[in-house]
Amino acid sequence: MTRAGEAGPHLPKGCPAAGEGRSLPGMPPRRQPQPPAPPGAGPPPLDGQAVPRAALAAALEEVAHWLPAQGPISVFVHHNTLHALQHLPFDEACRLAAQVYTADTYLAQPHFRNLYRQGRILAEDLEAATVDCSDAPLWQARAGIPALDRRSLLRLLLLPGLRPVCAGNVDWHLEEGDWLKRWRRDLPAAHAERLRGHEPRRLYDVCLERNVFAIQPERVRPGRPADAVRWRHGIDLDALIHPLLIAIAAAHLDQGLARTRPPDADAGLWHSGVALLGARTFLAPRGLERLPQRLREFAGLGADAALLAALEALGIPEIEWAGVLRAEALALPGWTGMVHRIEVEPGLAPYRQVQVRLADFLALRLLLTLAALDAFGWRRGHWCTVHSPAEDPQRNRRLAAARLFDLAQILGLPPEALEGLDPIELERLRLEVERHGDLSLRARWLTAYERRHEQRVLAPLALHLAHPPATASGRPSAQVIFCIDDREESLRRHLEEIDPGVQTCGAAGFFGVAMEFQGLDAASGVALCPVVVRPRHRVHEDARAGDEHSFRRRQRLRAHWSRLARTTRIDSRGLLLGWLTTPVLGVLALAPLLARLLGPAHYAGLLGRLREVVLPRPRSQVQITRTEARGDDSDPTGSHAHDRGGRELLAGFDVREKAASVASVLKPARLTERHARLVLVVGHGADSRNNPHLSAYACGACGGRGGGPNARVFTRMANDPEVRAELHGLGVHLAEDVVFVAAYHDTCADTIEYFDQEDVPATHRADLAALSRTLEDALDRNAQERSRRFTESPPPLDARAARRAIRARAEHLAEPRPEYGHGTNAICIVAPRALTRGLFLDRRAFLVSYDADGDDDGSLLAQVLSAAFPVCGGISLEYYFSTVDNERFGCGTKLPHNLSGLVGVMNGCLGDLRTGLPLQTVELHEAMRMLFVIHSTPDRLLAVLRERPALAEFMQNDWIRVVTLDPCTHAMQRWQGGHFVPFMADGTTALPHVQDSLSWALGRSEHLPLARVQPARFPPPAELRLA
Amino acid sequence: MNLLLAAMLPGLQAAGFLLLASLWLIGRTPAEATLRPFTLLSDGTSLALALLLFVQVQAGLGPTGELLVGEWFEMHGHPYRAWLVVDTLSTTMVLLTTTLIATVRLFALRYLHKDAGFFRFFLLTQLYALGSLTVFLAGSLDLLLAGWELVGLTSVLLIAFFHQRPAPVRNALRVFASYRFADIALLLAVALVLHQGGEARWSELDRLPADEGALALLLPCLLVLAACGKSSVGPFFGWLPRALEGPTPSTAVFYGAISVHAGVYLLIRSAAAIAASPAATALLFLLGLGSALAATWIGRAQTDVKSALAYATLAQLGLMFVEVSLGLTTLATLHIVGHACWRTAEFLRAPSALRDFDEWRNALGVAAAHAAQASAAASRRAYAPALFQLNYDACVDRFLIAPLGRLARALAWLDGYLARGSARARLGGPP
Repeated sequence: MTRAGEAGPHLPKGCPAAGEGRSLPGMPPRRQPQPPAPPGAGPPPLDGQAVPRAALAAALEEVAHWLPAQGPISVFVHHNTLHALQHLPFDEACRLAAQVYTADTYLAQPHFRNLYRQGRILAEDLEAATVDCSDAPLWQARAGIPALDRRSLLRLLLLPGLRPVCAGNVDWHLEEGDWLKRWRRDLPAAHAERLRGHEPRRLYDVCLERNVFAIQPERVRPGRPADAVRWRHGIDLDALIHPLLIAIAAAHLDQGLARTRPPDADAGLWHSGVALLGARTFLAPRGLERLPQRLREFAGLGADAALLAALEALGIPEIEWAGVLRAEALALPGWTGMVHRIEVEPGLAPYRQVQVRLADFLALRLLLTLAALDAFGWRRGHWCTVHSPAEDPQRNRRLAAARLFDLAQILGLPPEALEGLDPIELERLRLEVERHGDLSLRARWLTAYERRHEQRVLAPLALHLAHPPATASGRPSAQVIFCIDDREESLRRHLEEIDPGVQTCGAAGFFGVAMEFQGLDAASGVALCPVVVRPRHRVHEDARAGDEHSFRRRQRLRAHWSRLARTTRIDSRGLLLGWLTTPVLGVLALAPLLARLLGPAHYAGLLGRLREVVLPRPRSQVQITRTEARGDDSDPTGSHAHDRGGRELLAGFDVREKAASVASVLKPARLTERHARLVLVVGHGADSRNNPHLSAYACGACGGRGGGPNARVFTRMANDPEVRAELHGLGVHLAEDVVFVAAYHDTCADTIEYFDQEDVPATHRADLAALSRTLEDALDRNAQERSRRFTESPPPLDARAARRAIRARAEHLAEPRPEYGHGTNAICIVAPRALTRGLFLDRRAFLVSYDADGDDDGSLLAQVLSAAFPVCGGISLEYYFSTVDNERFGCGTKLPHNLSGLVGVMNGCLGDLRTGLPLQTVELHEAMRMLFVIHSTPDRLLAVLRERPALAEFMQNDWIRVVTLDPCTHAMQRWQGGHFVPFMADGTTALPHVQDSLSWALGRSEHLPLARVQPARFPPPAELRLA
Repeated sequence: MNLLLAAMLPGLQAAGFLLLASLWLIGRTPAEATLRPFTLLSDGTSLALALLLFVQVQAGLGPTGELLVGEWFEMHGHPYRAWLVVDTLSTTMVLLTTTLIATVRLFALRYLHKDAGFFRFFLLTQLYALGSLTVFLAGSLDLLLAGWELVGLTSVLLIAFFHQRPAPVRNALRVFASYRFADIALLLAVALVLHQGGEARWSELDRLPADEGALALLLPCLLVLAACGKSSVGPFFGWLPRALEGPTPSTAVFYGAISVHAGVYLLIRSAAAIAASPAATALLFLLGLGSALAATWIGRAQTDVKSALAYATLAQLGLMFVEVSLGLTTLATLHIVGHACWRTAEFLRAPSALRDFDEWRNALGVAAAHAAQASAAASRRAYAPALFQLNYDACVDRFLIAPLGRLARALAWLDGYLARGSARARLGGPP
């Protein structure tokens, strides 16, 4: 609940003013975007309604910022869950979000203390996290009273820390728990020694007497009417109105799951909702008996007018509109957020256009609230006067005493010592303790947690760089370009281990090709590029000449089969058709079910072979070249098409655009000359069963879809002689014998599929065959490495068995963890691959290939970071917040999920839409901000970021951690407190050398430290450093 | 032999449940790694026994019909004996039950991995299996009642599986209340039959004379009501969507497998008694047909997968009721078997709906898919009740629970008034 005085975007007391984030040197201070000007400041109104409407629009815009930004679930995009607060520094944003969303924005302190006990956080880290606190004394040592300074107090508050106690459980702890029966067991030895021999109860009595943490009883004003009702009558108003609201919202957002739609759906959510609630055949539930009267009052009004009238009827002054509307909206964040998201971007609705607005939804909500308040006979504005129940002053005293009691224990103050302290000293103590509230302590723990992680990553990395491993000389046997995804890190590592002549490289998974792509089997195009980019080109896939006939036959068969499947699945839910089909089909349905549970891989293999026989896939090609518009006849697809948002798209690319795309991938990685004969470009995606969150496992750089088509288009472009000629001018020299081939890696089932193999010239077929054999070996090992994380069955015996088990996992109907996605992400390294080659990074690192030596003016760095910061930072923050509070920021466990309207999942039959990541994806994750290691000098990086405030925001406001790696000296500097400071290894971490990755990884299911893979049969070292 | 098999089926489940429960009580909850082979073994054995029993009955080996297990207890010289029934209907239902429960538990072994309630789920499904097998093998109405109650209790506990959230608990309580309300009818039926001096065996119910007047009318109606409660037909259909709060396997085992079909089974067993009473037959027919039509109508407006499946289930259950009222018991049995398997499969793959729709749209093309999509409802008056599920909760709350609440408060006031009066009288003060 919010306090009424903080209805607007106000920060709690003690928080530095908003927007005073640290700025980059040389840049003016970052300012919070100014709130919309108050209505009085604008031009004079034209009619009586304009002023309040403008104020209402401003309030709604304010509310919309706080809503979840996730759209329909078929396209899951990882983004910063607190995107609305990204202009604030991280700690402030977390503090504000914790208050507004009543959620955890850091891990809980007991969790951190557990990590400390397990050795994941060390004492040095806590010391470093508290070094900024002054060590001024709070009081001097005297007889029987030890000295205490601020820093020691802070350290004691962190470890062992105060036990959480509140008004609800203090009496239990004191009377039935063992608070007063024995001292705490986790006290430092010296303090426990001082307390020995004294009675806990005596100390408690002294605490009761001294009454240091006196709690001022305050009666809070309600943030919204439901609070007042809960306090006065103990009734949950939300439980009353949500079933109606959710049913109406779901019916209007539905993308085709229901078989009938609301009759007035096209008139908008408000009008249709009011019509439904006012229908003769609708009976208002208990508690809303007065709804018909209210409906009559609001009957003729539009949504905005109704919202204004409702706010007026509730007696809310204009200044508090935003605050109350925000509180109301956040009571049902999922549905409200979805309504707003589709209002703002109608193109996101996958199958059907819907007319919904945030104002409509909130108007309905307030209408129902008014009707509910009528049942209590409350007059206009009465709800504002109902304050929270008075707290029991005696219990508050006990609570204050209990807190002081706990504090005295961790300070090692026996009763006499506590009695011996002056009131002034106790006041100083109190102020100091209140300065370090729960959130600020958690923030320090996070600092310690991240510091240990940095030590465990950067120190071994520095050692690795100091003694670079030998690299192969001469022309590489093959080059493979992967996506920067952290799941590809292990495959790249295994590939390089098996064949040292192979070089791998990382580029954002859309490979510079931002397009709307319509596949052979698709009915319409999908955007395959990062979500911040709007594609301007359209590409489609056709059957090759000679295969058109089989293609059309295939489409017909697919259509027939789909019609049959649809009838069997959907229409059989009707009465007569159901009666006819279920007795017959019933028992037959058990067969595929059991097959997918008992032998999923075999069943999938069988289906695959069946599909090859009955529905053979024709050889296909992608049309990527834009022909000049010569009229409609010669260009059947139309050289101009429109995307879902109505923007015009160009069909295909011209030579300059193609060259630009290819250069945007090859230049940052410094793949500009002396290429291998064969360059494989691998896009990735994932496929699994029974998984509404499928898009969350796909390629984030491709907007939550598979990147295979991008790889394909890229290779077509790069193999084109005209494009190569253009590329010479751009500085990329591709020799005649360099051939590009595209492939698609399914990261869930760990399979690779090659595209357009018939286009590979005969001279290179043997190279491709050799590379594919190597890749198959690498995939086997990759499967084994992945299997160490899956604990429901014993680890597989060998690589083949692991591969089969992984394949079965992707096809298993009941598997909620087909893969862990980005579930262990921690680092993003933007550096040449040669620097990280041979390092075991445990699938936790995004690897972007970038060489500062090839980048004279920083433009390539800017290009690379424009993808890396939003994509990797967004992924990291989405995972962070879904881990620290899975119920509020994530979508909870997958078990009770129910797909609603094809737009989202909810729990049960009428629950809130859940946004964020499920528990099964984040359970392994270490909640930290992503660590970027960037191959650049600090000045170059600052220069690049200075021109790009959107990117600078990530670093400046500490949403990510940044370390620069000097290209010449390999010195590391960390961004801290507004400037770069040198990174100091504290000597606690070594770099073990292992024979190969599997010997390091197998048999252990926990996070592994960095190791260096040094196979014995490595060729002699050479001078050549390749990106 | 048949008796032994029939007794071992619920007996094994009981033994398994007691073992798990005892381990849990003494604090040695088995880990997942131990529970997995135990579950597979238990389900496999049950399935084998059920199959063997089915084959025996079909091949005509061994005794069939009502088999006496032994004497349960004795009261006032009247023995209560435990009877099991072994015939085609029972063995079919038992085979169906064991197959579907084994399938769902196999699904859950993977699905519930690392969930905090893993053990609780398998403990409850073990008890659920015990209850279902007792229902289908019970040779008398009172033994059926024992299994019936167990099924009800474990179903409710499975709905409230996520007991740390308020919504599942709230919904589970309402389901439980509906069950208890309907079970009054079953209890009364049992009491009526036992009052006649019989043992409530199925054979006695079949032989119920037609001219017994009140008994012949009342008993079938009570059984119909009890069946309605379990199958969410007729006046009890409101609890149906509430049971979606549990994890996917539990909703499958609920709607798909067994729980809702137990009501139809009861009706098939009492078919002769129902047929003997035209009023009961008419009641059954009307309730079934009405529910089927209402469920189809509501189901069309449901926007989430599981609710749509739940109402489709209800529609078919209504049709099964109609089939029994028309005397087509074999058809009803076949319908149960096919329907249970179909719904279990559908519920377990409910999360695939998003992908299914996408694939169909890609295969059929945008225009055809659009045409196949929903049309706007013809009238608001027809659509509104469908969307809000016939205002069931509103009706129950406003016209049943609220008046009862007022009555209860009035009685409490009266009670207080009388207590104060009698206290004053006792203390000798002025009245």
